[in-house]
Amino acid sequence: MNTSHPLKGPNRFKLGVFSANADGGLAITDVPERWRARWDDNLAAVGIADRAGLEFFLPIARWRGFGGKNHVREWSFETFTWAAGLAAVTKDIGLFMTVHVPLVHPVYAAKALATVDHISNGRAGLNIVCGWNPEEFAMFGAKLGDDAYGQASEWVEIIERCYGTHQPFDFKGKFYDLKGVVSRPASIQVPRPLTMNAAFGAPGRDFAAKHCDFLFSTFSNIEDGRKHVADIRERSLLQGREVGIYTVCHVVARETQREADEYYERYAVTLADHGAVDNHMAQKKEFSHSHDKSAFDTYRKRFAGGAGTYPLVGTPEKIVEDLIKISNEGYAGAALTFVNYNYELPFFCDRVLPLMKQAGLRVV
Amino acid sequence: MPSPGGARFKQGMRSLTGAVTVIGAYGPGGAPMAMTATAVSSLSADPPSLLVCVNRSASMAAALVSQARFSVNVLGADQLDVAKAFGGQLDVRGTGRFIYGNWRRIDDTEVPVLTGSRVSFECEVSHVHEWATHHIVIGSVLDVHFSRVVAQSLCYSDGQYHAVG
Repeated sequence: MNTSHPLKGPNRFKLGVFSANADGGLAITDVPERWRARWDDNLAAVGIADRAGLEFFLPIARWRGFGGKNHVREWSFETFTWAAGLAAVTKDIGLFMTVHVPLVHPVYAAKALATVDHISNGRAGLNIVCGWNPEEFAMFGAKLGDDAYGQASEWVEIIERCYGTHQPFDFKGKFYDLKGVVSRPASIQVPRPLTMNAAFGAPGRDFAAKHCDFLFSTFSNIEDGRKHVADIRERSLLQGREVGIYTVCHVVARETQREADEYYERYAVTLADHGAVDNHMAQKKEFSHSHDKSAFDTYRKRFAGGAGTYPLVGTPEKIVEDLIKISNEGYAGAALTFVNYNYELPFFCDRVLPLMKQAGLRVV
Repeated sequence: MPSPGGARFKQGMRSLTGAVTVIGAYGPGGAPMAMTATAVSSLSADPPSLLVCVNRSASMAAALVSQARFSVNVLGADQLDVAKAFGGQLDVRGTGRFIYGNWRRIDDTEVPVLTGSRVSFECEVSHVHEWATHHIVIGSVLDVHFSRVVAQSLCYSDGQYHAVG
C-alpha cells in the first residue's frame, strides 16, 4: 500500500492533458487532423500520458457545442463515465471529472466520484464548475443562479459529509434539504478526492480558497500570472488552507520555430472554424468571467487555438523557457491541449520532458 | 528532595529523542483529523497493542474514545512537511492540513492511514486512562501496513526534527 496521488508527487511543475474528451480539444479549427475525441482516441492519448508520467487528465464538461462548420464540442463524453473507463486501463495518472454543480445532485456526485476513486485506486479528482452557458442550462430547464458559489459550497459540504460518516444524516441549507443521507463506499482519498476549480471572479476564488486544492487560472501574458498566484494565496491563507495554482496552455511543439509558427497560423487563423470562434467568443464575453478582458479584445487567434488560453508555440527549448517563466511566477503546473493529442503528445513527451528535467522542473 | 517544576521537567524531556508519528482518526463531527505526536509507545505484542498520550484539551482527545478507530503512522525523514503541517507549524488548519501527505481510507474500518509512512498501525481504542492533563489511550492493533520501512526515520529532540538511520 504505497499509492500516492500523482498531484502530490515530487515534480515541481506538474503536467496534465486538458479537454481530450471533447471534439476539437480546446481548438476551434477545421484542419483535417482536428481532434475527434472518439473513445479509441481517448484511450490512446491517456496511454501516452500515463506511460510518460504526466500527472493528470482533465476533461471539460460540455452539453452542447458552439456551432460553426463542425459543431465543435457538441461531441463530448460525460466525465464521470469517461474517467471510470480510463481509470480501469491506466496505472498512475490522476483522472479528473468536471461536474456542473446545478445540474448534478451532490448525493449522486458523491457516489459516482467515490466509484471512480475506487476503480482508480485513489487517483480521482473533481473539477467543480458552476456553469456559464445559459443555452446549456436551458437544455435542463435550469437557469443560472444568482448565488452559484453559495450552492457549490453546500454541494461540496454534502459530499464531504457523505464520506465522513456511515450514519445517515440530514442536511438543511439554502439550496438542499436532504433527509437520511448515506453513501457508501466513501472515497479512498481522505477527506475526499482532490478538488479544483477555475474561477476568475471574487466569489469563485473565495469558494476555491475554502473548498478546492487547486485553482486553474489563465493569463494573457506570463508576467500577469503572479497576480493570480498572490490573490489565491491571500484568500486561501485566510481559510487556513493551501491552494496550488495551475494554468492551461495550448501547445504547438516542432523542431523549428518556423514550423511551429506556420502550423499555429494554419490551424488557428487560416483554417479556423470562424463561425464557431465568433459564437464562442460572443458567449464567453457575455456570460463568463473566466478570462480577463484583454484576452477577448486581442487574442482571437488564441480562441481558435485554445479557447483563450496561453500559447506555447515553438521548439522544445522555447517551450521549456516559457514553462520556467510560468513556474517562476508561482504556478505549480499546467494542463495542456493540442490540435491532435495522439499526433503531438509523443513529440512533446520525448523532447520537452527531458529538457524540463534538466531545468529542474521535473524529477521523473 | 525538592520536586522539579514543570519547566525543569520539560527541559529534561528535550533530551528524550522520540520517533515522530502522526495519529489519524475521524472526529465526532465526521471530519477527519490528525495530529503529530511523539508520545507513542509499544505496549505489548500479546495482544498487539500500543499506547498514545494525548492532552485532554487537544481535539484528538475527543476522537479517541472507547472503540474509536485510529491510525498511528511512523514518519520517514522525507515527511517533515507532514509532521509540521499536523504539528501546527504551518499555516494550514483543520481538514486543510490534509493537503499534506497521502491519506487513504481503509476499506472496512474506514481508518485514515497516511501512506508513504515507514509503517502504519491501524488501531481500535481499548481503554482510556485519565491522568492529570492527559489521556493515556491504549490501542489494540487491528492491522499493520508496511509502506516504506527502508526510509530514514524522522525523530524529534532538543526542539528539532532529525533524520535518523
